[in-house]
Amino acid sequence: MNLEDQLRQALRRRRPPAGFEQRVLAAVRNQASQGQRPRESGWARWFPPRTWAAAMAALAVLFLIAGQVREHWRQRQAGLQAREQLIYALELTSSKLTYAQQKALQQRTIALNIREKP
Amino acid sequence: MITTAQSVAANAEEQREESFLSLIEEHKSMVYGLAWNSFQDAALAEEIAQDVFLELHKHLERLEGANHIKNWLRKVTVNRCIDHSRRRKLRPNLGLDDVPEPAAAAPDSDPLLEARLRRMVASLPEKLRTVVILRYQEDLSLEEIGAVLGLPAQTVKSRLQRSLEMLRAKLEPGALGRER
Repeated sequence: MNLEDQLRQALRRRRPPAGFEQRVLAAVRNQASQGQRPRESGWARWFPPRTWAAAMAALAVLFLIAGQVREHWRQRQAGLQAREQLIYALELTSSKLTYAQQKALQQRTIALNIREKP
Repeated sequence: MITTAQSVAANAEEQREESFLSLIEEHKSMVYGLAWNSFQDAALAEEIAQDVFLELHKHLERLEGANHIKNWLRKVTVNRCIDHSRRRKLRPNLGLDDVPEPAAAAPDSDPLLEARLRRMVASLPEKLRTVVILRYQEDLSLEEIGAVLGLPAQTVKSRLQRSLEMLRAKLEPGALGRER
């Protein structure tokens, strides 16, 4: 017997184990019953409720953090503005005091000059 | 209460199931054999065969005639085996070099030699293995194999020759008894 005949002999068809037909039929019925179940819409299949809930929770946390950051930024801006106003007020007061001091010194000098002249 | 329409539908379903059962009975050894000879794994062969018949059940209304069904089954089984082999990166359990040399020349239709040949075929590269199985299990011509695989007959011929050379190279000259 040559190689090709040996291969024909070795590679002959094979019967599957007993009960194969019944297992296939059971699989067919199982598939059919699955096909009869109400199918979820494409949207619901890709985004099941659990995924939705997780996404919404993540979004809520994100909004909360964004609110906190915004509030912190707003308070910081108000503080900076108040600081600038205070500095401006102090500078103004300082210039007024300097002016008053100069005026007082001038008056004193004039008074001394009048007293020294006969 | 069962109405006439329900009864007719049940009868039609029963008949459909019976004709499907007879199709399974007729083609199961071809489908299972193709998968078994490809992988040498009974569980995997049954899984593939079941998948193929499930697919047949889905497409049954589109198939016309016994030959059409047979060719369709052959093609789908071969494609499933190729897909399975590629998807799971399934490598043969044994490489050609792992198949042990026979201790002595074996007589004709030696079950051990047959088992060794099957293992050697299963260890061939996927493209060659499919051609060998279609040729020697299904006894198809080069043109018919080409039609199943979508290849020119010349390509099938060269693959077949290469496969036989590889198998011959592995077998000792005396291993097949009166091999020419």
